[in-house]
Amino acid sequence: MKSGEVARLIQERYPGTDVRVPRERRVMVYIPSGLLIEMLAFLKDQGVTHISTITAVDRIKENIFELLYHLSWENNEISVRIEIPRETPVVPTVTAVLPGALTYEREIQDMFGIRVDHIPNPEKLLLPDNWPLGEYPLRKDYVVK
Amino acid sequence: MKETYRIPVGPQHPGFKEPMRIDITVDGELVVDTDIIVSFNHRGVEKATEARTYLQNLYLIERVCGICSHTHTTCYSQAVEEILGLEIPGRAKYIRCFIAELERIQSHLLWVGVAGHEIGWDTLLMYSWRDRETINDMLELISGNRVHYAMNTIGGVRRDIAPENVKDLREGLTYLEGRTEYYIHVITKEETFLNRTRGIGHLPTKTAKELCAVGPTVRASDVKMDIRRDDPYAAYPDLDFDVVTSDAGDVWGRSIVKTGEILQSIRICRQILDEIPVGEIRVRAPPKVPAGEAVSRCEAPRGELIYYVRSDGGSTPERIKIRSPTLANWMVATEMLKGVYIADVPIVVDAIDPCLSCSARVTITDHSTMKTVITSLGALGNQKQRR
Repeated sequence: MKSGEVARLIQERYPGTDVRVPRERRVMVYIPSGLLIEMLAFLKDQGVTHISTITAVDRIKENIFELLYHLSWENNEISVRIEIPRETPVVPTVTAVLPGALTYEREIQDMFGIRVDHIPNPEKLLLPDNWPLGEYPLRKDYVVK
Repeated sequence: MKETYRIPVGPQHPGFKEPMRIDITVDGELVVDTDIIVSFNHRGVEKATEARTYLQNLYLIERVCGICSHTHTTCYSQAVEEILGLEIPGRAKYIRCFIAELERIQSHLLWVGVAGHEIGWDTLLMYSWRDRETINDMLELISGNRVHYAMNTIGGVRRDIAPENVKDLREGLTYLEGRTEYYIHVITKEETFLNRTRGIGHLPTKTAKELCAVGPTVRASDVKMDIRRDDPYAAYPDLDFDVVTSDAGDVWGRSIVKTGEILQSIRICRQILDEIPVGEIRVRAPPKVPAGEAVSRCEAPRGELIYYVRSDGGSTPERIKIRSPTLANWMVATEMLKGVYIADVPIVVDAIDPCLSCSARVTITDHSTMKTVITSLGALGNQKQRR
């Protein structure tokens, strides 16, 4: 399926959604965080099963965490993007829709301190057991010691 | 009453390259549940990239992995080139693919040996690692290096394939083709191998898809997913190859896929030597990268590798996100281990070809006597054969 068709499909279901195609095989979907699960469930109904990873970006100047859920569908890599406030960094778990997302949700919890609500396994994934509480190494204000 | 015991495996093990721990819960000899802990050696590469220039990062990223170093730099360079709007020369694209396929061959041959070792059959390790030397020599011929080839740069590749080397490269491919056919014969006919791999570590297609497995692991569960075909990059749109799959879904199926892929890689390498366009091997890239972002994907020997690079217009990147294929395969590894015998744990874990890992001495506590035995994973693997 061409990337333009993917974009049209999403816009038909969710009119007014900002969907961009920076180049063939790449689709960027900008949505409010409240729509995340619904959007992923919609894409799953269309046949998306594979989540490649979740990228978090600390936009410290704007006081925002941006999250990109990279989904792969046929030839397209679809990035569903949400923004959440930096003071209350909470997202719902998407594992009910895409069970494979668990690893990446644990990763963003470790590295960015973004709390994933109702995550099936909240244990640390990448940081050691004795890592100090409340320190999140990939946040921009974390100073490497 | 049914009792289960929890056995920690790792995090230090001489048989593996990096530390990890697998906590296996056993009921007698059977594994009923597992948990994989990989948090022993996080190097903070993503954080480190934010303090380095784009070119410095190339050399840091080359060292994310020792076995698939070229795939990492290819994926990173592609992302930066996309933000820069650079189109690299055709010859550079073909050279990138050539090195990538040689890398795949050496990685898969390495795996064949390690798989042999894990089932207590070190002859296979000696044979396949001897043959793997051919690939290291070929890579050295082109790049001067056996492991970190440092072939990529932003804007193309750093070294050309010299015409006088083509004969040696072709001879190397012919030798490897013969050897790989022999290994396929061994894998499909040899009882030692069949007994230890058929039906072991089964991963159904549905679970493989659901838990987002990648690479030979998912292809051995009959899912036709290959980034070279699905999201073609470099010269792959011009190259002919088959995506090797198997419907076996077990360790044996994964062996069939990996060895089959070596033959496909040889086929790709020959096409490249036949059809490589003449011309420049790189274009000049400006040191500063404009504001922008790119998602780049490659098929590493172990599966889908994805990079997300964001620039804010400065000399260092705003964010580089790396997701290596092994991380994507941990969840299915836990699934595969359920229901196997303790003696099969090493080969099942090894079947995903973990790059990050792995683990260590195995401590087994006999609950009735509280006696603790420390043994090696390799010795555990041999136990079953001796019985």
